[in-house]
Amino acid sequence: MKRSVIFIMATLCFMADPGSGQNLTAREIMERNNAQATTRDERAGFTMKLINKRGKERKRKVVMYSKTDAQNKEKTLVRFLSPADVKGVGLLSIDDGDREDQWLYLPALKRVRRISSSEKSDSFMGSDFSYEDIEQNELNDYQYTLLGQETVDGVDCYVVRSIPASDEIKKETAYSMTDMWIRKDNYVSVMVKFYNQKGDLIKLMVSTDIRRIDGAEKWRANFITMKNVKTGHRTELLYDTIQINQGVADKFFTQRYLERGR
Amino acid sequence: MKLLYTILLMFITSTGLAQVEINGYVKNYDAVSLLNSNEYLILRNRLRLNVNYSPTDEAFGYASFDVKDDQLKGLELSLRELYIDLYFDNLDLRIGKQQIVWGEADGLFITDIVNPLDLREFILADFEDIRMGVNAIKAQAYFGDRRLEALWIPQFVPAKFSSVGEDWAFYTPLDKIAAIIPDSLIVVRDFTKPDKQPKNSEYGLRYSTLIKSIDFTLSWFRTWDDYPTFRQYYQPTQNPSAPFNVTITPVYDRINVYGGTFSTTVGSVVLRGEGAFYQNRNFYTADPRDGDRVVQKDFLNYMIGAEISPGNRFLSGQFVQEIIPDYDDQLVLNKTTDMGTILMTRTFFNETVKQELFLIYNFTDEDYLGRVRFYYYPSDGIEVIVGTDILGGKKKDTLFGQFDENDNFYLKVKYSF
Repeated sequence: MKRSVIFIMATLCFMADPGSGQNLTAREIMERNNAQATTRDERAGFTMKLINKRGKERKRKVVMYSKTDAQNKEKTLVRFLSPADVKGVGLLSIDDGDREDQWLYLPALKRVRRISSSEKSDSFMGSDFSYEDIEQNELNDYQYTLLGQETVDGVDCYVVRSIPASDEIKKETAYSMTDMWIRKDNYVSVMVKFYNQKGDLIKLMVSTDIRRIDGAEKWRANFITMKNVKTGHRTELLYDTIQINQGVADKFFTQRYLERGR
Repeated sequence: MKLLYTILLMFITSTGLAQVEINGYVKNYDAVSLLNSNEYLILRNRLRLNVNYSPTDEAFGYASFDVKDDQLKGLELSLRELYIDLYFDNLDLRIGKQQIVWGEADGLFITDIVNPLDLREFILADFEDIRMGVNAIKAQAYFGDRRLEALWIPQFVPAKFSSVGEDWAFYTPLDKIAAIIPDSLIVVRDFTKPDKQPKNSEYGLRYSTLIKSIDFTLSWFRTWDDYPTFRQYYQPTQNPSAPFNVTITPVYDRINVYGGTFSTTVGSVVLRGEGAFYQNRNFYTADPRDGDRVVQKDFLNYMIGAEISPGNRFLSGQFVQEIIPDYDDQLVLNKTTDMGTILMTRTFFNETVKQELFLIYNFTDEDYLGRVRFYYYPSDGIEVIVGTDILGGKKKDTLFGQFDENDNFYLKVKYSF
């Protein structure tokens, strides 16, 4: 199902598109939205704020590296930089398409520990994002419907609904459907509504401050908010560094590097 | 090893302090006996200071200091770790006082035997506090997914235990002897430790590899047993009411330990295992014909475990067995000892609250350790733990049964910076 654990903004990537005035089907819009999601490698540093409904914040600084290697293995390393009690914690994932291996390093235990791959619906690092929210889905796993066209913050958008295309996907996902607002000019998604299996709206994701990444024909949102509308809890991602296709070294995706804790 | 410290200090002072980062924590830990609510088992404040020094990508220095202000036992200062890392293309070196962690088991030490343990609070302290650093040189060479690790520990450091009469003092053969022979007829000699000579150093090798998504390791460790055996020499007397006097000498013995581990995932289940084979370990015998009441036997200790982590839950189970293959009926230890462990955790409210249950049950000795803990993380860097430890068993001389009276309820508050 999963092609890569790419950063959340990967699903938001776009390129200025000369054909934006065409009458596109929902599938074609999603193809364009997905077209540049896959990169050779990425490095991103961000601050993740977890904010409860009373406004109380917890903050984590994280750096993530990802790469598709010569054998087409998707590799990701997530490292916590702060706060002090989680500094150095690292998660290494290697996905060869058939299976995903994951190892966790906990500095306090000085040990690399194999862990099971997370379920798609599991929370990503205690945040309001689940793993399926931050992964790039296979286009064929969903069916798409063009609901219409709306303006968001003064920008024309397509509104595309995605529903699981098979029972297998239905079982894996926590969502019965998602509605995505995709800009007409560049196919970046600026808002996503997530509905649970009962059809109730449960989460809302809004992406802003979208910039072109130096040295790459890619664009990324630099500020993303995911709100759980049921609990009032929300998670904000504020990116301070995004590098794409700059050549992330293979050494980052090894247990040797994971153990260094920095 | 003094030379190593000198090199480390020269290394830091010669390259400046610009890349120094200090972190650590302050922790308060208070435990009350459940048997007698008027008795404190632990009243402690602790300061941990870690100094990280990264002058270049090829070198790293680390020092960890510990200040333990124990209101029941006094002040204790220690240098937990102090080492230099040097990184080469396919080789890492770590030189100095360090903790070396092997093994796959949770809450147990099977192949994880490189560092001696501080057992002055049994195995209830945090793992980072239980392991004691040792002066060592560790070299790790990398060949793709394979790794060869070589260790040299110049000087043996034994495990630490509570003194006789303290809450967490272990049951020893001395207790048994003292119950039947008057103190005046017992002579206890000093612990016999290996001399500080190169021939007595410890060394080991470990080979790690990843084959078809299975992590394997094989290890060999030539070491000294961290746990002494009390040699008992009985001499007849002319006194019919006390027919023997006894001389007891605690001795640390040289051993070879061969180990292996694996871990992998099958679907959403993580499988782990590890085993250690001790060649010629010393065990107590009740055979009166034996000169010192200690005999050498091979010893096997292994663990098989599985874990799953659906959603915000985590569940792990381990089966552990200890075997003395060439058993004789005079041995004090069982021929086989079977144990099981269960660890369950669950998080709530975006991981600001966690509940945990850990249970070890020894099916052979019928003793147990149960730990229930609730964690609360009110804000970044702050951890509050409320918990209880329940220990017991049918007999008073078993691993957990001996601490039957040490059930406790505790509060820990930790601020990390």
